[in-house]
Amino acid sequence: MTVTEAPVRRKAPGPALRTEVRRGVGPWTGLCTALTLGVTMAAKADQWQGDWIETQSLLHTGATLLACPLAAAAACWQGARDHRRSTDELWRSTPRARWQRMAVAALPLALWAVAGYVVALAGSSAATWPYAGGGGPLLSLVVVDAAALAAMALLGFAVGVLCRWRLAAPVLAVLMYLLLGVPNYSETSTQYLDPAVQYVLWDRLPVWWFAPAMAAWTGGLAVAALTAVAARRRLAALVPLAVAAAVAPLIVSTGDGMFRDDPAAHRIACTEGSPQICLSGHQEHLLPQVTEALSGLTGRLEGLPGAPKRYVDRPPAQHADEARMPTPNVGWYLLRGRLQHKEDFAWQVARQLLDRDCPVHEAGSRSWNRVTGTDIAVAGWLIGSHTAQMTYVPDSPELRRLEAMPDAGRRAWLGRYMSARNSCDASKVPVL
Amino acid sequence: MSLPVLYLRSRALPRTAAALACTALLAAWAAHWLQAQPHLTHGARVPVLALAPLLASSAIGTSLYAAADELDRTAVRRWWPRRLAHLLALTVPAAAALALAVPGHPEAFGAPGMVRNVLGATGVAAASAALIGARLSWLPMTVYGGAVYLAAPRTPGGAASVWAWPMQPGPQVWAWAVASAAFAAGAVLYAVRGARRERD
Amino acid sequence: MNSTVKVSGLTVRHRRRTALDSVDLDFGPGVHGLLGPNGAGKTSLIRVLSTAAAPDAGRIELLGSDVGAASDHRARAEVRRRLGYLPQEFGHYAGFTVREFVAYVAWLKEMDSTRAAAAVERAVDRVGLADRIDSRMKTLSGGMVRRVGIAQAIVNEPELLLLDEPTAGLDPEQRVEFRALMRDLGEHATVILSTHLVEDVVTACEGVTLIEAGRVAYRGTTRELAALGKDGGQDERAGSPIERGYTTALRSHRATAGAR
Repeated sequence: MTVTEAPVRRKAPGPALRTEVRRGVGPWTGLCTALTLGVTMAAKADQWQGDWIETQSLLHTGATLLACPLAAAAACWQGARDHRRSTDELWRSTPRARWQRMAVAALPLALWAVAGYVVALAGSSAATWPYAGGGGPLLSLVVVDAAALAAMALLGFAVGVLCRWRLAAPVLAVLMYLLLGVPNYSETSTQYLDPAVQYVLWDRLPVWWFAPAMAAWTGGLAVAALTAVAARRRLAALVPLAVAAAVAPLIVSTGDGMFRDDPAAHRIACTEGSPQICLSGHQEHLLPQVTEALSGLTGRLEGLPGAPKRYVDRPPAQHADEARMPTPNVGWYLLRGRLQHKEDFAWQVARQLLDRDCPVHEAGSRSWNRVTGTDIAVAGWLIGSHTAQMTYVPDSPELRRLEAMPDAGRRAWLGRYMSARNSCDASKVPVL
Repeated sequence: MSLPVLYLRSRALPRTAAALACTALLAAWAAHWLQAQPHLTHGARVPVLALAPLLASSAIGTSLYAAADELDRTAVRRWWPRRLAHLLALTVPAAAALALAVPGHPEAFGAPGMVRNVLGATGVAAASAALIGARLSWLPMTVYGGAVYLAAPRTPGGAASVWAWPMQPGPQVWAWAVASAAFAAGAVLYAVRGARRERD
Repeated sequence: MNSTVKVSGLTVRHRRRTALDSVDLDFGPGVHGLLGPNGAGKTSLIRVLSTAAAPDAGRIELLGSDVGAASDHRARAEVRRRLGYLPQEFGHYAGFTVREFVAYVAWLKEMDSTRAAAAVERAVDRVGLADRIDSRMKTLSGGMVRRVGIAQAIVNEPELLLLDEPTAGLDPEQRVEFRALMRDLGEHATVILSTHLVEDVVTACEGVTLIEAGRVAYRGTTRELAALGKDGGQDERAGSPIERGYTTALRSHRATAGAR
């Protein structure tokens, strides 16, 4: 007998997928992912709020080290569902291909895990945006994280289908944590295969193929595992496996080269006028605050010969016209876009300004001790004697002498001093 | 076969004991490996103190599953002493074995911290078994542990010793208080109510 | 009679034990009862007919297609679309509502999605659960879950319906409704009903097949089996005619099987 039947739409998984998305562990997975990431981000808000790189770095760590194992465990639980509920028997009598049924059961977990991540990303972006002076998260890192989460969910599901052990889900979570976390301790370029590795991004950008390659690698592995478990033709798993295997050597061989210099980070943005205060392009919006914090120091140096014309937050440390200043980083100098610890900032600038990178054998000698004492006293005077005596230079006769000098004499002395501010010849440093 | 032996077998205790032993061995190896790494000191054992109790409590929590719960409830003898004994018989050796896995430095992340974390995590797992069922009893502690793992501040003490007790060094009083309270509450809840019945 | 189910030389083994031993059977449209003691092989037969399990040997032809061999998966898929099955142990997803679960099965049966929604409501209505259609499965009693099991089996208007112990857990009233439903379905479809409740067979089935120790012990109509009971025993306390017929048929089969 031949089957004569009107052509029907058999492929649409709409209602089944919708049900699977709404019921079972899926929504809980999304909630737990968002909660875990949310708590992590909220507790450390001081260390990232206002800086896109820091925001995304912490979110990346949380998503890969915490949310990935969690998604894998939840999916493992979902994968073992048909064992637990003894529905296998009934499903075997239905015409729908096994891989379709499994895909519809596994995909919601991946979707919910990614949704939880996106919620956390949206929340942290909203928290960072007002203080960051524009910009946004790196899309390629978002793609890498989301792909890793989805891949871990699919992998966990495949494990759940195979393994009926009651403890399978928590054990898988811990193993995933180890698998993802341990490569962080190594320094080889194979560690870049691990999506949880910490990327150094403050002055670098991923190359365009970084996200597609990582997604192909993690996704290829996960789809291969699921295909091997779910498909009738298990050999079909070789196709995604081949994709992953093709991408892996590329990632390993390129290694650190997957990141190129960030032009915005290397561009220097300076204030008008003299002296110039310069920050990287990312921190241009902080220039007024930094200028204000250094105004005391620059005011005291104004018009002196040998005073720097530029303050920049990068090497070289010694330069006749330039002085180095610390980068106003989130977590210490910056809190929600406000510069804090301003005295310390000025103090660091003053110390760098008067830094003498001299050979070791000089240190400890008597004349050299005098120079060091003088340097500290001048640095203290530059940031304001009162503040300096409170915190940095509590007891310095040199500073008191400098304070006591008449203005004109001090200017003259400072002029001589500044022209030798980086000199290693102690005799050139005027006596205070 | 005697009754206690049958009870042990009905609760799959041999397998749980094996899982706990594996956890202790894994923890000991991981602690040793971490300390052997260049640039790392005993302070790097924090992940061991966070993860090993998680695994141990998962094993203990899922072992609280009662296959014939309805039958058990109809039994003539009172169940709470047996449930309590069951829980203690697993928790005490697990805590002891894991404490041995992280020798030295009790003032930082050593044996006292490990014992505290095993107690606290097991308490949460036992309470979860009573409230949401033994099979999923590992979930709340896993989510909680994951949430505080990165969130805990680097400096110990303060409010964090309450909300992030698993991430505190050994001698923090408040962390001990919270963990002990969690264990007491979990033990009482489980002893009185038993694991929640599961329909699947 | 045009047979919709034909099996020959069907053998099923569970490890070393033979559950079905070279069985030849055929069924046409109508309701057929499958009777036999515990462990006789009823469930093994139903499982093989449902294509959930593969036989160790023998030929199976369902709705005109061979489905026994591993290579027949295309034909098997075609048959599975027209098949309904309620396993002895009916597993379900507790978090789904009745509607969602039956719709999920409809999807697994590759039903036309435009017609599925209406088919789901009709199937749930036919088992008398229309008022609980949006309840979660975990809130249902055992008998209701069993009725959802029947609903999922009939959602695709199957031409071959296989029910393993469908009345377990149903109360007497529901059982009466269930039998009416079976008679209704049997007008067009081939319904095979495995049970050890003889009354189900009397009121719902036309044909009876008795299975004992992996072999067919008796085949006939319900009336013939009842007649056998009238001939065999006079003792009223030994049960209804059909129960006595069941016992007589079994005994005579055991006698001949033992003689062989």
